[in-house]
Amino acid sequence: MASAASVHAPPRDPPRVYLNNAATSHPKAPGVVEAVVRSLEELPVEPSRSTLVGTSNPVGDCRSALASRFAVPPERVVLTTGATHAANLAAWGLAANGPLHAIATAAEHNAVLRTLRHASERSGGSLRIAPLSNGDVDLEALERLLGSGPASLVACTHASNVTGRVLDAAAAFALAASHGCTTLLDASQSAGAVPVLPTALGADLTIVTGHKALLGPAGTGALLLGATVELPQVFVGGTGTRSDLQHHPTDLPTAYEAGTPNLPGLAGLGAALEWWGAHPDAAPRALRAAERLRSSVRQIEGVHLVDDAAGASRTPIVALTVDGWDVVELGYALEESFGVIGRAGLHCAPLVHEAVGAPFTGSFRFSPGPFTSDDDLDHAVSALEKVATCTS
Amino acid sequence: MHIVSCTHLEDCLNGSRWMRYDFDTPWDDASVRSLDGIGALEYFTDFPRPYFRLRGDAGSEVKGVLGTTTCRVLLPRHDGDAAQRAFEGLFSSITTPTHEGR
Repeated sequence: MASAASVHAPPRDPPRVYLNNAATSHPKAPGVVEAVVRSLEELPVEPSRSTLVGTSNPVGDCRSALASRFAVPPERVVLTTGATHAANLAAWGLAANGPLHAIATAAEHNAVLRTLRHASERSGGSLRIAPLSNGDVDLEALERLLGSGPASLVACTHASNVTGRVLDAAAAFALAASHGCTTLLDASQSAGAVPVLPTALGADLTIVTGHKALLGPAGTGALLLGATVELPQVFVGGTGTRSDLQHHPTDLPTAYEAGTPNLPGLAGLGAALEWWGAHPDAAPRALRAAERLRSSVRQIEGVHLVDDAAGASRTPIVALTVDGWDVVELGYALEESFGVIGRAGLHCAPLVHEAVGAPFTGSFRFSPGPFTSDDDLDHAVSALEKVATCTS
Repeated sequence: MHIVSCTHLEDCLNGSRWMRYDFDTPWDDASVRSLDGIGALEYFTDFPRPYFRLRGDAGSEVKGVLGTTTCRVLLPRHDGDAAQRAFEGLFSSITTPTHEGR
């Protein structure tokens, strides 16, 4: 039997190109790793507890930085383990008031969709889906839904995690408000990628994750409470304050924060937010990388972009399919044969593909970040071109 | 090629029939080419790490990359257990230089 060497040169290990920042960012912002390590090495700091030692306040610093970034008062920033935790605080809190009748767009991630499904069913409410039109929320359809049945909440993602499209959440929430609905904005993809101002968008509740475009560690996030929203507590327990009370304190933000926070993670997220403050050019850089990638990919025969509407505002995401390749196999081949790491499948957003006319089996997604180089992009485009045009 | 482990792969759609196999030796050119005839073999040798895809009966597939010690197997909807046994017999029958030297 012939050896591999006699037929082909030994397979080369390709360079690794990470284009999966919409799942989780890599690398993290400079200073994040050091802040996490420092938090673990230093004497523990628990700002709300009376047995304080240490010299820094990563929880307070992170809260203040989030408040500044999203223009909300610090006491209305509830620190969470991520967007899913935040969505559950919101949904189960609202469901505690009575039947939760929710309307969510077809672009929502399961962090919102499943949470609303469970909370609405358990509370005797309902969940209805607002369709998309040309990749954005269909406002006429949303208005019909609002007028045709009970509705207490409208959820709209700020940006689709599949198409990258920034939705017209402000218009959707204006409609929702006119029908007396609470509004929930999912800023998981947009926070760090494009400006997010919940008040300007009309969001009563905004969920944020720290480990995507904000370039912080996993296990961090926030629920941002609008000025007038009142939400029953979901998680209760120890707070390190008012230990004489038999019930969980009701002052903000303690009302929604029970148990020991993720101190290393929040220290890391705080460092990421500090870095962002000094690097306002980073987000546009990622957007330019994605646009460059989109332009190049568009030229490759056999490659089909998912939602390629001209002029649309997007986060740094390029989703696609390739003729002759199942998307999961495409991801496997790109990663194993070319070292290009993206993500394949439904991306936990089960409704959006059909809503934008893409195959229900999903798509392959590139998502560059602010540290993606032109060489990275060229390598990814070259790999995709090779796969799309290959013959055995 | 000795099978070290076999793992069911979850994916986005319910009812995945994908299995991941791990072997004690990597796929080499000869072991990939030995799959030809079992089904339709596509072998993309101009990829930096050559990629192969075997399409077998009833929708079964084998996919892998030269130089790695794994592959993915899609089992057919019907008689998946029989197909799995057949694939495992096939893999075990493949002799690589590493094994020859033992």
